[in-house]
Amino acid sequence: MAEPTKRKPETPEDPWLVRPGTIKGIWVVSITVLVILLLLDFVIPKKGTYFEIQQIFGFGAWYGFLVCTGLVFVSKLIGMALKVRDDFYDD
Amino acid sequence: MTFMMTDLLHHPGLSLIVAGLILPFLPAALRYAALLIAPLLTLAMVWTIGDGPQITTTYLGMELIPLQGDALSRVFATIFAIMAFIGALFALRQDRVFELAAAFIYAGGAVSVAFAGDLITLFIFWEIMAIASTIVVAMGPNAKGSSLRYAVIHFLGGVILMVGITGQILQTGSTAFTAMEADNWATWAILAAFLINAGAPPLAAWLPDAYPASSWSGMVFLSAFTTKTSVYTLIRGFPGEEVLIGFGLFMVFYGIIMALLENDMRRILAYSIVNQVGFMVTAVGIGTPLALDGAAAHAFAHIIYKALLLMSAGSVLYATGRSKCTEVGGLYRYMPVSCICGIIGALAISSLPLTSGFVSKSLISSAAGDAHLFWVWMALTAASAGVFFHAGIKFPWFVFFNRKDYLYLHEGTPKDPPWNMQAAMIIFSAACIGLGIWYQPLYELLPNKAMVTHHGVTEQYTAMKAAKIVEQLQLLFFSGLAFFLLLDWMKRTTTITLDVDWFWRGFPRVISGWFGLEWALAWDNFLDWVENTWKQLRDELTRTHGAEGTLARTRPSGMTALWMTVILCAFLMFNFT
Repeated sequence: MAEPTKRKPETPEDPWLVRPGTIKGIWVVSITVLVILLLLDFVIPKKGTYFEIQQIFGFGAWYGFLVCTGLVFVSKLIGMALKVRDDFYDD
Repeated sequence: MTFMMTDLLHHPGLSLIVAGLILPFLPAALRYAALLIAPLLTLAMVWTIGDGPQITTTYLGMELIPLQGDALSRVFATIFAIMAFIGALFALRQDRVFELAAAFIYAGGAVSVAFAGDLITLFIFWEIMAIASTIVVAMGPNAKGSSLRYAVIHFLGGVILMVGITGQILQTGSTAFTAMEADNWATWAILAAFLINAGAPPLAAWLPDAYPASSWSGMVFLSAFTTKTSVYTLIRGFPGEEVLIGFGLFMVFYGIIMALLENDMRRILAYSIVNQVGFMVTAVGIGTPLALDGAAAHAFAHIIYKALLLMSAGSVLYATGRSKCTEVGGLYRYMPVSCICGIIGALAISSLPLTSGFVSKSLISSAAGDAHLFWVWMALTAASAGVFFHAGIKFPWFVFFNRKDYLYLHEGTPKDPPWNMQAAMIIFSAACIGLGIWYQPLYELLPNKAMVTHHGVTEQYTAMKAAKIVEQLQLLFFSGLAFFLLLDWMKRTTTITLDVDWFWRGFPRVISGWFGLEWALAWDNFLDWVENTWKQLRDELTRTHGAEGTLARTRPSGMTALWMTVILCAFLMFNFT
């Protein structure tokens, strides 16, 4: 009589990149990077800038975040008025 | 130097056009060789063109300079030739040979425009580009309507250009293509024609309408030549024309917002072309030597990373036959090469430090800073964040990730495209990173060699400054944070967003709809009227001439005979007496 195999039946496993653990890890690393980027403003002197606004702490960070949030809102508003089904022009 | 037929053999653009013309007649093996060798020969020839007029001739008493070189011409001709080579490598297996032939004529036209020393030559090659690019669009699977609309807009642009050139020659007596000012109708017409090809408002919608209708390889060629030739002509013809700042900034934000709303990956990238050309147009409007260098460098870098993005998208289309974000996704595990190359292109377009986009776009934003244009600088910086948002993350995220798995696996497992397409993507990926690290050679190519003067010291511009890199990284990473926090809002829907092309695609239908109804009503009325009139006429005739009608009765003739008899009798009686 054959030995019962200890191998589990093959289950298709998600690739490494999309496992919940990995995704959590990516978030942790990303947030760490964001914090480090902000803290770099204390370390690196703001030389060679053109305007005073660039001297404000974390200028790139808050400006980028606000602009993108704003762009999403604006595009949502425009989308409300101008979005149509994608077969709009089809005969 | 006078004009001789043999001189034409040294014309790099014409050689590519000739290669395109004979391409369809070559057997397959020779065709592959010609596709790869012709652009490299053109590139070699570009670098033999010295400064100043190389070929001159007269036509109808006008001085023509079909070949005139300088640094600016060479920058653009160089990248056009490189693009033709990589495009050909990518499209080697395209079985629609006419697309490749047209693409070479199109690229040759672009190289020739870059070397055109006079407005007549410029116009001729401008139109050759319009015709050839229309054929490239028309080779797309369902591109009949789009290619017709593309042709109409570009021939309209050609007519406006001809009007402007005629006026300019009449007013100045010179055919030379040099810097102009938009201060009379002729130069305004020339500027308008250039802007139409740049994808500027109000006709910008031709670009996202036509390009995504082309084949998986066609859009790679299309993305490079028309708009960038137009940027070249703007740099040469209208440096420092302030109205261009307004046009450019509009294009930058229009491109971002429309791309954010878009579902089709190649339409996202089409709007992104408008956005990127907007940076260049703004730079031409700023007009300082650094800004003009920035426009040229950005065009150079943009051709590479946008072609890379479109090759990545083209590979997905080639492998899956799909291009909507709602249908693709999860492809990272099946198409790793296309995915990684697409990400590199996306990072380059986002101007991540150590990529080509960073070293070219920094020139433009620094030029705005040097010129103390605060609001322009703020808008360009905001737009930089927006680029990352709409192209840098959105494209790779929705195409390669977003889902755990590709939805249509039952149709077959998608895989990376053949070696030649992968090679084309890998070469351009290397170029994106290479130019980001060793950028001095690119700066050396530029007309002013990216020289800046600060506090009396003139030196080459340095993109790699610590404070600038930190600021750019903050801008990009926090835009990325906004993307993922607002991801629910970014979900794609199977929609398109109406653009100005509605005025020539949707509005005529509305009018014809009205007219259709009106005409139907009018026709009904007309038919009623005809029927009523006919009935009336018939009744009338029946009444008078019918079997029982007044004039058809038999009685009146008897009566007449009676009366005649009476009258005759009376007559006889009176005459008798």
